[in-house]
Amino acid sequence: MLPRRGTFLFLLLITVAMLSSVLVGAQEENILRILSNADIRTSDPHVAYETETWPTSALFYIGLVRWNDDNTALIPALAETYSVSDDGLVYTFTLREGVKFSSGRDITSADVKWSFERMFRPETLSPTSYMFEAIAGVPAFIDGSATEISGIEIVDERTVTFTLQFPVWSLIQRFALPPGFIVPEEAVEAAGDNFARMPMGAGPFMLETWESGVRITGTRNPNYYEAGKPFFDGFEMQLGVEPSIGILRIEGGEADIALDFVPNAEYPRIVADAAISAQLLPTAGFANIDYMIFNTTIEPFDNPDVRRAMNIAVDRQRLVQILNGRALPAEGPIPSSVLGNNSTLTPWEYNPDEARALLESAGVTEGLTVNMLVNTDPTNLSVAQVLVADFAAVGVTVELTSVDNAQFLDTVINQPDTLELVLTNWYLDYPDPSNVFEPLLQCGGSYNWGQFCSESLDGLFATANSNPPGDARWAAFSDVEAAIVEEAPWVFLQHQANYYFTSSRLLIASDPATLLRWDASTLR
Amino acid sequence: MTAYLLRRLVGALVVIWGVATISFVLVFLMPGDAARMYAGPRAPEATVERIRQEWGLNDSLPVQYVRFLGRAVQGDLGRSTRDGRPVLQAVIERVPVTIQLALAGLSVELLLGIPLGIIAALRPGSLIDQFTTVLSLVGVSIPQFAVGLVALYLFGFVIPIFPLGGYGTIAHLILPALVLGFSGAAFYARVLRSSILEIANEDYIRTARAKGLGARAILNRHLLRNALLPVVTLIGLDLALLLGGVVVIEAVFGIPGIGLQAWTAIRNQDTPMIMGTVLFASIAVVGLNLLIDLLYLALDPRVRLNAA
Repeated sequence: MLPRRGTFLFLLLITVAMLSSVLVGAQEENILRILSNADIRTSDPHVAYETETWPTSALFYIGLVRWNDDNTALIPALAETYSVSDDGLVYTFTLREGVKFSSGRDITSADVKWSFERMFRPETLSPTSYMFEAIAGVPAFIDGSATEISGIEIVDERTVTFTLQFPVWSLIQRFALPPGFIVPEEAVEAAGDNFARMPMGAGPFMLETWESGVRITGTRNPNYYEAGKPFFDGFEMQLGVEPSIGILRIEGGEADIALDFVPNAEYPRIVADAAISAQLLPTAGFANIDYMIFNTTIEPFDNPDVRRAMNIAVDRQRLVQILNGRALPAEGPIPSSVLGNNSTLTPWEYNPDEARALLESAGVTEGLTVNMLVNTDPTNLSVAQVLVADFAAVGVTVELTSVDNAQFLDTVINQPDTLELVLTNWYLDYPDPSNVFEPLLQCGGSYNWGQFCSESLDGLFATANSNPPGDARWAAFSDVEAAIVEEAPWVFLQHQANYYFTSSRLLIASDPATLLRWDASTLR
Repeated sequence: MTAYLLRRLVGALVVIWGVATISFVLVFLMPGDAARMYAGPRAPEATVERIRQEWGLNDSLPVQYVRFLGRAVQGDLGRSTRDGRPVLQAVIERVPVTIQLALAGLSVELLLGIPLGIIAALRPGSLIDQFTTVLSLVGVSIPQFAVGLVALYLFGFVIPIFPLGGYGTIAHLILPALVLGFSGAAFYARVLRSSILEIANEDYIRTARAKGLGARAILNRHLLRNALLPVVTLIGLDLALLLGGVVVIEAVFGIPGIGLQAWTAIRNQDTPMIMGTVLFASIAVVGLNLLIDLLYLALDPRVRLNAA
């Protein structure tokens, strides 16, 4: 009797499956097929802040400026021209004539103002709005004492100015990021609570369907500001695709690109295979540093000699091996792809004997036991284990505490005094050296978990940061980096190289603002 | 009978309320901060504080709990703090997916497990018996994600019979169902085997044999009916477990089920979504247990007498 019940269950299953299944249609040739491991939580550019949500919002939206094809300078996008006043306080943008949202409505300077104000409204819950907090009138707007941001002025239909409280020379780079994207008021109003999944902007594509957790599809925006772009008639993004399965799908010709970076375990196989290694696309920008923080307020890590000793106790070549060759050893905090990095710095020489001697002369004797906090990211964990072994070799016993990211953030942000060592990474939001120094190393910096503080360094930084982009700025920042390395507030570990894997038919560019340049994608 | 049912229903509600309460307190006690997880590490404290206020996270546990319960009884489970969607809608969307996967997996388990169990019991020590022993050992010891990835690589990439993960058609469902069934089938076979062997020694089987019934009749009419009772219990528990979400299988095959939803919610401290998925899972477990007990009433006269 039981096999019969089994048969019944099976038939039931087939019926249920058939009723609820959406048959996947034949692949159309001119559709960009994207994969994502994560379910995309939002396409709202003012809310997005992950490696998968930034490129997703860039499918639908664009800002006033963007990076040029070489990723060396910012060029106008929705704007026709832009200028920054000599004192760095006033940014003026003039919109292109007749530039439109995908709905066909003209974009005016009022839209620009509305969009930035919307980002700062408390109910928008924007995690990235702080990047524009230097705009005059923002504090009053946030606390509700002003109904508009006084620093954003509509000069005429096509001209808008942003006046800052103090000069911020990297601000133009931030205008290219999703928080700087222009969002139309009527779309936000119409979508209500569902705006995260009902995008409408001036980006290369417009939304067709959004099935949460399953797929997002879109069609070409006929009103895109660059004639003839995008190349593709539309896109289909499949969600929930495990990254290594995603690579198989792309290899098998079923997909064109995954929003996930190539996993560490897959990288050596792809690099070694001449047939597919050309399909690796390095992320432009996305400059980063892996580093270990000392709590510089406690003994013995308040002593720069101890911190230097720990720096030369680390075998960075071995760390690069652990990352399957997907990294460059770090000499200082600023990645070499970022202007203002000091190219004359010499690599840290691995020298456990000297490290031991340095530690001894600094009064650190055998038997120092300290704790290192790290999150549960597998790459971080394997790096941490190498560090534990390297430090043990010079007589420092390190106990690892590995906690999930929620607890990790809670500890480093709310209980910095309990920290001794912390292993972590920093990804620059925009490729300007100030994006390393300001949050991570300035006295009281928001991400400065080791509480490192040097007033002379802060002075050097302030001077460097007062220079507009150009040789003087980069030279000054290069001096700042040298001074930081001298103080060794961290163990500088490595800069990771991240790659996308693309199909053999796809040609696409990467840029520092949105990671992927959808409008520059085409078939080979 | 009605009194019994009523008693059980009230009991079920109390259990669900208890699970909800304990989960709520546990989530509240979880280290970390939902607002910080949402805003990311870089947002200044002022931004995080604004978000906390918007979500009422600064209120005390009793205040938050009463608010949650008050809304929940009205069918409002709040909005996900991760993506802002109504929790109820998100759960309802994912339940059919999970039901499909659970039923498909269970079908494979039973279709494979029951025949294997019967044969193994009828021929103890035979090749098939040893095979099920080995299979159950292998099924239990190899992690499902490994089986899943290898299966996808072999039958999706090397020999492309099945799609490489994803969701939408029956073809998408077969491979994950097989992987689920592979690890579960042998377990059913072992339970059924020992249950049959135990019952084969009962007096009434000896009586049946003594009165000259054929082996097939004994098997169908006396042995299997009784031996399958523990399997029915197992199906109930198993199905409840499957409905609670098969996180690993869902993640490997990219199936947007409730398990993946719960996992994402936990990692992001998405309290409303955690509560929504926990509530669904507890309703599934309690409901299926109730159903199994009612089924027992129908299948086993002894239970019927006790209930009355």
